[in-house]
Amino acid sequence: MTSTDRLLAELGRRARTLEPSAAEIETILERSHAPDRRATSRRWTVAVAAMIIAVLAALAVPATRTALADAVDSFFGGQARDHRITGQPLTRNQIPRWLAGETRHALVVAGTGEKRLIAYRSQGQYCFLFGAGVGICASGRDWAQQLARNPVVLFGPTGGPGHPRGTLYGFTRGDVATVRLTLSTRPPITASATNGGFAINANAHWKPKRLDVLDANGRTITSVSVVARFNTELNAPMRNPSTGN
Amino acid sequence: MSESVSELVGRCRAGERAAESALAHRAASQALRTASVAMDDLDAARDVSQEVAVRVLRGISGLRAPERFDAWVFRITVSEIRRSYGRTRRRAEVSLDAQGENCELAGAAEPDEMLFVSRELRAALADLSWRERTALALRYVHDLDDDRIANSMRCRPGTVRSLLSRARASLRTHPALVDHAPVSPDSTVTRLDPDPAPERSS
Repeated sequence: MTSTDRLLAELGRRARTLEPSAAEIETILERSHAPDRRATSRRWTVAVAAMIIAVLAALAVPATRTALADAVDSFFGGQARDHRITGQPLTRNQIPRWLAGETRHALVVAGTGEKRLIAYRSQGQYCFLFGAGVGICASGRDWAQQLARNPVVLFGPTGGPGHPRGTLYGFTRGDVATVRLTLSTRPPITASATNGGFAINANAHWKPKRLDVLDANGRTITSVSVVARFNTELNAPMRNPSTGN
Repeated sequence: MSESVSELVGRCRAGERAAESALAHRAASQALRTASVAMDDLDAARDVSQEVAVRVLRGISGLRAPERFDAWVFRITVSEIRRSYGRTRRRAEVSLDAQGENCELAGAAEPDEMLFVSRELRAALADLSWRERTALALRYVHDLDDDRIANSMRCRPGTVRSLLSRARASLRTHPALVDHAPVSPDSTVTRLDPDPAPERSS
């Protein structure tokens, strides 16, 4: 053993005689039951980091929109390389006649009863067809921007003024699995959105309140109020059958 | 020994005050002895030992292997020593800026020469890095082998060997120790010499 080792061994021997005092142990016990300041500080750190991430995510929206535009393009093309929404292609005989002149390629995105939400391309635009021949067209970029803001783009209900029965349609983002329409007067109605859209038959007299948009794990992505949409149906003046107005 | 620690941990988790107190004492003692050698003054070492014991009691419910309680405490101790060194360095920088040449006196505790064997050894230890001092503490206070020190310091055994070797070499050649006789009462060494060369086999 060298002299250095002997000195260090003596240092170790003296250190082993050290003991915490009773007062110190009491302080330790008290502090261990008090709120952890470090944990609080860590929670703040996490919260601040989450805020920074949120800001960065907002700045990253243009990139997200680009990705969504690609997805929309794939979707309307009947192919979904990076997007799981696909839709069911219609055969040439199934495409409505008036639409057959515009496109040879159309997809049924969702349906309920005889109601269908159909997607097709027309003159460089991406269109949805629903209800009694209602079509809405927009560019892929526009649809992508809408989906970047909200996971669902709603259409309808299609009953029309004075007709409380109507079908509510929606074009949904890839992370949406189901939607749930909450009603004031009866149990909610749930519809699948796995093909990129949904269709729900409803009635304004059921007083629909909101549409919950859910992911594959059943978690709510967002909730959208639909009160105004269905009130329009109820509050519109009844059409006079004799005049047709 | 590890069985009794496991039992203590179990009783502590059940909310038994005496077990909690015993574990606090065990953790604080272990940490105090390590930190007293790894750090420059005893007050700072006592602060570290308190922090360690508080962390141990708060985290006891999450300890997966109660029989490895001591190893867990060593890891927390090393972590707290590192934190304390960081704080001390920041304080020292502030003191240097604010007080110029008087900075050495800022926050300095009375010399703990009874512990540090001699003023010279203390001065020599002060020139080591916190990792070298901690490795020395774990070896000479707790008699841990390289693997256990490595586990406590979250590094490889080779790194521990390197730290210990460097630390001993620094102490052997440190002017404070070379120029002064040791004060160890039972020492017969009058001058600190380098480690003897290994004997040759004939």
